[in-house]
Amino acid sequence: MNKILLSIIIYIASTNILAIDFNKLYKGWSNNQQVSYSASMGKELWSKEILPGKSCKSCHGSDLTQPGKHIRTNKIIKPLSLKSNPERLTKEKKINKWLKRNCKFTYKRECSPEEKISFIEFIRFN
Amino acid sequence: MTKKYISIGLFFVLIFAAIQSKSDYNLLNIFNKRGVQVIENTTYQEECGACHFDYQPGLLPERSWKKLMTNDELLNHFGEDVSFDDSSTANKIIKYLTLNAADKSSYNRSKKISRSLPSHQSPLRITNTPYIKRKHHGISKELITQQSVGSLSNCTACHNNAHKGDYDDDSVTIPNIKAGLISIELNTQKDGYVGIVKSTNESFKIISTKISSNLSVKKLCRVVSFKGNDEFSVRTYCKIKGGFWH
Repeated sequence: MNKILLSIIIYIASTNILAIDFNKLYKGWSNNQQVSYSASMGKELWSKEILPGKSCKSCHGSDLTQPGKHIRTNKIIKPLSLKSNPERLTKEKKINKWLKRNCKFTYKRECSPEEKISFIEFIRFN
Repeated sequence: MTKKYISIGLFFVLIFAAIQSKSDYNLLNIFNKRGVQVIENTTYQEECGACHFDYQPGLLPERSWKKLMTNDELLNHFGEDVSFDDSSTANKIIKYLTLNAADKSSYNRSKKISRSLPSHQSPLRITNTPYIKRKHHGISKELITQQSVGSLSNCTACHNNAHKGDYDDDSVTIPNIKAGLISIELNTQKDGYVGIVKSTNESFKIISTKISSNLSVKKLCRVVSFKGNDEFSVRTYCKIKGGFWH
């Protein structure tokens, strides 16, 4: 009985360790500096075309629970919202990789900490 | 005596080969595989297949993949920076692509692609290999550039089994193929025109023409009837100015 309890505790503890600590992640991006960000800022930036014809929305759509479509290749992109795709935002490495790649694709530059955090906040709560 | 045994043996071998060649899955297929090899590499699928169709390695020769995966090329991958943060991932993909490249493959279509290519050429686009070019030669530009296709690099738009490495003609459906086949007539002929749909041999008649305007979009529409062997159908094709018939 004790063994079962212990293994349950270990299991819960280990799954919690694996969950992403967003505050820590954000602090890493902003180098511990104070930055202003919000999910609503992320929403606003989402459809903003800094370069003509390209925004987050052009590939991912504005309803994050729905699949998107790559504007250059027509490839279907799985939904970003955790509501319809719980695998999203579960791996730090993937978050960093895709923010970097997609900011370069969309803005031809890397995103600022403010932009990155706002996007992730928008995705987390939509 | 031995001669007799040899001839009996040969007889059975021939019968076996004849039966095998008639069935879809036969032993001789080990030496004669159709299509291209399917993808069995999750790193490649996740890294490259996230943005575009995961083109099978057997669609380009080793020298092309090597060139495509150099740092310079990845920094400008058909206009996009897709460089890798960690070289171990990139190396895994390079290894997979080069080991399974068209010139290393025992699959028929891969062999054809590889053979069509002069050894001094290493194209970065599959659509620039002579075999693929030749295979898509007859398809009108309108059918390729229409919205649901876009370009020849969008394999899955028409090749329904592309993800299975099957690029057979039998599994191809080109969207709007009929409109493509009669587009010249739709553009130029008057009402009442009777013609034949190339390749299907159906006869068709342009019945009427009208302008449909929906909000600010004006469309030219033409009603066409088709008569096949024992089928009769009527369809309306519309297009915006400078666009394609749908």
